[in-house]
Amino acid sequence: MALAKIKGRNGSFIFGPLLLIIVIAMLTIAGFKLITLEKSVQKKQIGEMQIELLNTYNDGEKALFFIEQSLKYSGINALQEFYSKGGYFLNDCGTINNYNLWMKGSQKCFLDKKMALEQFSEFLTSNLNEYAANYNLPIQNKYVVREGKNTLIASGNEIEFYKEQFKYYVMPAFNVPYNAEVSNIADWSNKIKDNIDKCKNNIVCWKGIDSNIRVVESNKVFYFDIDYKSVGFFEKKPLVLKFALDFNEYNPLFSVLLP
Amino acid sequence: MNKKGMFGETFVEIASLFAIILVLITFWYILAYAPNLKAKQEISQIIGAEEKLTLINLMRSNINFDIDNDGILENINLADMLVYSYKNDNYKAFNGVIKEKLSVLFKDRNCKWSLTVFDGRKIINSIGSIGEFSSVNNEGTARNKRIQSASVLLPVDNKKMLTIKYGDNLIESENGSC
Repeated sequence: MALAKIKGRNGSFIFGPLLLIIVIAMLTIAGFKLITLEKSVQKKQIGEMQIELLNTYNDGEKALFFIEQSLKYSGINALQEFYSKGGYFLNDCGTINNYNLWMKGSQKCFLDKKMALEQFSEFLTSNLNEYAANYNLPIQNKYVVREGKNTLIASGNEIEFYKEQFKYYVMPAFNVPYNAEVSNIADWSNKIKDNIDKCKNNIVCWKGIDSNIRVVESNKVFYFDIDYKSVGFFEKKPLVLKFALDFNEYNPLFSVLLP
Repeated sequence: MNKKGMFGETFVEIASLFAIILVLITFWYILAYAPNLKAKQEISQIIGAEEKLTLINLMRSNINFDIDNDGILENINLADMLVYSYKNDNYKAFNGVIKEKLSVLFKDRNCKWSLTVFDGRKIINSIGSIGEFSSVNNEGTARNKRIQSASVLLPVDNKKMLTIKYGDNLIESENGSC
C-alpha cells in the first residue's frame, strides 16, 4: 500500500531535487555576477566620442604636416633625378650608358611642357612615397604637379584616417617655391629638336648652341651635360641635365649626315 | 487514488513548473540589466586626453634662418630648423627659439612644459621645466601625471624620422595660471 503511494508520487519525487539543483545553480551564477560587478558606483564618462573625433582630426593634421615637410626635402631629390634622367621616368627611346635618349635614329622622344610635368610627377611620387613609407599610418599616394604663379602645386588623392566610428579624409595639396625648373627641360628639349637638322653629328655645332652645354661623342652617340643652377634645402647641389642623341640609325632620307 | 486526486496533483505540478519558469525568466532579466539598476551613478568628463595642436603649430611657425650657409636668411619653419640642428648635432639655436616662442605663447607666466626629441628611442634633445618624460605618449601615464601631451613625426630624409614629444601641465591650464 505504501509502495503504491510512493509510485503514484514519482513526479513529486523528481521535482524536489530538481528544484534544489536549479536554486543552487541560480545562487552560484548570481554570486559570481555580484562579485564581478563594478562596486557600488556606476561610472559614466562623457566626451569619449568628442575626443576620438578630435584625435582623428589631429591624425590627419599630423600626417599632412609630415607630407608637407617630406615634399620640401624629397622635391629637391626628385628634381635632381629628373634632370639627371633627362626628364624621363620612363622613356620609349631607351637608355645608353645611363643617359636617356631624346633621339634614336628617326625615333624622336623630345619633351614638351605637359610631358615634362607628367614625368616630374612620377619622380615626385616615387621620392615622396619613400618618405611616406616610414610613417606610422598609410599615407603613400599618387601626386600630380602643375605650375602656379612662382609655385609648383603638388596634389594627391584623398587619404582616409579612421578611429573606431570616425572617418576623416584629407586631400593633400601643397605649394612649393618654383622657378620654372621643370619647364626648363621642355625649353631645352625644344632647343635641341630645333637644331637637329642644323647640327646633326657635328660636335662643334652642338657646343656652339649654348655655353652651358658640355657634349662628348662616342660611336655617333652624343652625350649632353647641361649645367643649370644649384638647388637644395640644407645643401645646394647643381642641377645637371643629362641626355643623349643617337645618330646610328639616322634616316638619310630625311637628313644627310655630315662626314 | 481517485480521479479527482490525480487531477489535483497534476495541476499542482504544472503550476509549479510554470512558477519555476517564471523565476528563471525573472532571474535572467535581473542579471541582464543589473548594472543599470544601480542607484548611484557617477558621470565624469574626460579632459586632456585629446592631443593638443600646440606642438604642430609650434613646428609650423616661421623663422628667418640661414639654413644652407649661403649668408642669406631663408624663411623656414621650426621643423626645418630642428632637422638642420640634427644634421649638425647642435641644438643651441633651436632650443633658444623654442623657449622664446613658448614664452610668447604662455605670456611670460611661469608655466611648466617639456619638449623632447627622439631619434628612435634615444633622446637627442630635451628642454623644458617638466623635465624629460619619455612616457609622455602613453595616454594613461600622461593622464595620471595630469600632463597634456602631443607628439609629431618629422622626416629627416627618406630613411630617417625624428619624434618630438611635447607636454604641459594640465592643472595649471585648468586653474588659469597657464
